Amino acid sequence: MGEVFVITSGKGGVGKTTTTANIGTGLASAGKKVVLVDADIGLRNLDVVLGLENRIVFDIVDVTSGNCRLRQALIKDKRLEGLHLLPAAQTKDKTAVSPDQMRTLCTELKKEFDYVVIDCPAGIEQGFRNAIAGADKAIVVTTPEVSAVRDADRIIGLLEAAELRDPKLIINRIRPKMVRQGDMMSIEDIIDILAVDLIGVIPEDEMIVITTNRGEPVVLDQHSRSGQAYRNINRRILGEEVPMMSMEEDGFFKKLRKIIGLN
Amino acid sequence: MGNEMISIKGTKNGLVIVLDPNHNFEDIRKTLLNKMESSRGFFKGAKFSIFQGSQGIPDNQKNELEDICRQFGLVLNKDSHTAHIKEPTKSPSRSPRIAPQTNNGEAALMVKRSLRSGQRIVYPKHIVVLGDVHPGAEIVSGGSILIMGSCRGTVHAGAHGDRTAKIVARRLEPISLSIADARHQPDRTGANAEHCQAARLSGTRIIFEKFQPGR
Repeated sequence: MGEVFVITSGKGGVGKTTTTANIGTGLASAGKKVVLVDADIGLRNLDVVLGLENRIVFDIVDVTSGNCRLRQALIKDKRLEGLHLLPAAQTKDKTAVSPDQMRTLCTELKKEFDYVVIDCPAGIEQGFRNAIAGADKAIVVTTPEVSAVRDADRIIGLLEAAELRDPKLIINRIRPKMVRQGDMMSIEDIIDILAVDLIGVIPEDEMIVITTNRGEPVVLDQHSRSGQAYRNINRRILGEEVPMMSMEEDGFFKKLRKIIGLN
Repeated sequence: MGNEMISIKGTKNGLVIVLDPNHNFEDIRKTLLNKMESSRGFFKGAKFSIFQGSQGIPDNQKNELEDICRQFGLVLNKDSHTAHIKEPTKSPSRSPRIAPQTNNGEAALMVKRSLRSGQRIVYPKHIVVLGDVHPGAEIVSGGSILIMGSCRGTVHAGAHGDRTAKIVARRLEPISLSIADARHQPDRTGANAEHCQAARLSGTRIIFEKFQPGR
């Protein structure tokens, strides 16, 4: 029986889809059987980020409404054996799927895959409720901005209300230099406000833009720091204890290790 | 100590001026006069009654004290006698007391978690939060608010006009804070000093101070 993760944030543009693609790709390259579910119906992106856009025949709404079998809608990744995508519908909207249908879908997918990773749409409306309905665990993505942290806090509250407790936090797009100058919220500040466990920090990196446009998740790039950060997150999901990587020579992330208890 | 000789408490039925009859009457009179002068008309128009514990003081002395209060614009509460008569029979204790409910504490809503952005608690009496109040969360209380963690949200105590309501938090850094009809919005840039753990109303201004147990 697999595990269902939902990647959520509340605010848009903080990196949910990028994170979903990289976690899914990373887990699959570690030999796991993974399916990514794009729950952002009407604004589908995950297929583009994965470079699988041109292979879509059926989508999630076709599956939930019985137009096709689940197996028909799943797209196999071109690079990795274990990676699959269930794309969102582009011509429908969020009301085309109900939370009950999502629960049933997740139960089906869990039987076959080790990990089901759901890309949640921005917002707290039906799209969000659909995305979290079948999830066992949640990963909240935020950036070091007051607005993103505020929305993440709201989302964590809603997740708790939906019995999804102890979500893990990813802080995306951090710029250590700006933090040192006091121009950006630090990891400590964010943890202090949100009071949840940190599972990873992704530095701001041009490679994200480059790889996203190419349709090849950065986690496969062995040289970039953001790729390394995502690989570390994946190892933590798989249960390894991985220290937070140092982004500066002066050991800026030493403090970080203390926060999450990895020395 | 003037504080022990006279204490002025706000209740549902107006102000109650509690005297310690063990002190010399002249001292009590002077202290009351001082208190009224230093309050600068804050009590003006308020109903009041004088309560002097189980022993009582002579009527002429009581009248004199009531006159002082009237000079400062206070209005004598006619029901005050009932409080005086009831008290000794209800409680054998000799210490000055106002009303039975104060002896036993007052009802409060206990919130056993942190409040996150978008979560709102509204309650007509006191509220106690065993956690943090995050930015974007809101608490509205008819009475006082006690937060065992950090207060970074929006808090409103004494929402129905109770001007004696207080807000106490381990760390008091609210987005906005209101007591009765007074509102305070701290600068986003200037964090409150460490010792600002309690907020109360003084006149029409909200003042921040170190929390002092028992006050």
